Amino acid sequence: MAADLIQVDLSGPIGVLTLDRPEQRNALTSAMMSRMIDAIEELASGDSGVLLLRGNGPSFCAGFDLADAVAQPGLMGRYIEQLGAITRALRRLPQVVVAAVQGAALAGGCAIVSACDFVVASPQSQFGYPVHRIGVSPAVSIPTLRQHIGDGRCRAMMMGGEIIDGARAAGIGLVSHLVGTDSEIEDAAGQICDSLADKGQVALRATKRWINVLDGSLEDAPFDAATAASAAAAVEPEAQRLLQSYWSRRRDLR
Amino acid sequence: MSDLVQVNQHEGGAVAELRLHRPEARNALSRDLLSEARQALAPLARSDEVRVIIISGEGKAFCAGMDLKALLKDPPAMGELLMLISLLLREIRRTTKPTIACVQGAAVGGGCGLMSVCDFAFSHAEARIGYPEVDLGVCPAVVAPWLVRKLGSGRARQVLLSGGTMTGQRALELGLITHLVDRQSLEAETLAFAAALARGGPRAMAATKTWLNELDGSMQDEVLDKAARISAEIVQGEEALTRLGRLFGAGA
Repeated sequence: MAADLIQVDLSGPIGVLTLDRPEQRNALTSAMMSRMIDAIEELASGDSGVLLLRGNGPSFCAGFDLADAVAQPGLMGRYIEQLGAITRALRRLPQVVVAAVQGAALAGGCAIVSACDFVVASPQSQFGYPVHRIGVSPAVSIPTLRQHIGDGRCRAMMMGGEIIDGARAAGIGLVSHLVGTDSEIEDAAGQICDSLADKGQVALRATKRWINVLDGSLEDAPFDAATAASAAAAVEPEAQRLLQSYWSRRRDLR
Repeated sequence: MSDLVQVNQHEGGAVAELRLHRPEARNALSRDLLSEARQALAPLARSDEVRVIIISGEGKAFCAGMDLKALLKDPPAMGELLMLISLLLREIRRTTKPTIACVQGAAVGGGCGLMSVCDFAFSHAEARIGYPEVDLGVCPAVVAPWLVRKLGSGRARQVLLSGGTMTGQRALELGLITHLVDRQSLEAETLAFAAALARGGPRAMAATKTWLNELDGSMQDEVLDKAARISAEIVQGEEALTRLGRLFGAGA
């Protein structure tokens, strides 16, 4: 059940949201994303000063659960709406959001990372949007990604489908804290959260909110348009055909 | 013209240096210092002789930021001080001549803001640079619009929400400073660069800078005024007064 695949602990000064589907590299189902949206909403009105976003297992998040999408035509559109809601809610969350990213943060996983204020990763971490090959448009991630890496690099990363490592992601501004190996990520992220929880919380929230005003994060139009662009592509016959073809090739490889 | 700010001429007057001169307080930005800096800047900005403006600070540190200690005695004066800083920052940004910050030792808080609105910033690897406002319960709203433009909003987010300070090396990597040089040669390198800039066509330079300022929203008073109000509100709140009181050893 979804409740088991997302762990939520909002009891302390540092709220923790854990993707817990390690055998599937934390691939997101619709139910998991619903749970995330609820948890973020709950956190927004709570006392926690910081949100730590993490994933159990070797990878942070490999994107959407494609098995479900293959089985249910039309589900991809819903995935995109939910992902758009998550990135918008994370960016607008009053609390600062820290992501601990070991292994892969791809497609929807990379979109979630792009909405976090701080991203801790290692040179072994992977980021990217290799999704046009399955007929999916990563446009839903544009409003948050461009804020971190600028318009030119956002264009290349969105359209190129290339996967970049953590060192490169730090160089272009997607990763804020680069550590030596995956095993150091958890500790480093914990320290950053502790440090944030010690700061003046009124000032911290006011600062995040003001930056959100300045960079357009509180405007609905860019988020609405980006989500609509991705969702429109997802219902094209091309999308369903490419996804089916990708999925059968993948199965053949096993 | 004043005690707290000096103006020095270089290169036969083509390069003007506006030097903060309150070394015993690490050039902390008091009301008087800010007023004098604005008065000193205006004729330099207007002058046809001056081609380049250097902003520097006397003593061990470029600028330690707002004079928060003085403010604890008079919280309501904060609003006025923040507006003065906000005005000085935009006046520096809006001169049509290139500006260079020459940063030794430290550029912290409002001091880092002075540095950030300049077109160029020279510093050295050991310098402490940054915005520790949120550590003190203060909101760096006044500098945020400038930082979002300079670094992009993602990195501005990280710098301002992290608080603390960083080394000159890290400031270079983030794009907060433009030139990293040895401490010993900081002044000489800054001056040499200023002299080279001064040889450019002043009309072309002014056209370029004016257009950049228009493109990136540097002329938007409404946003900058709002920023000063946000900072003023947070700094007079309970959290800030408690934390600042603790820092300066006074009961708040």
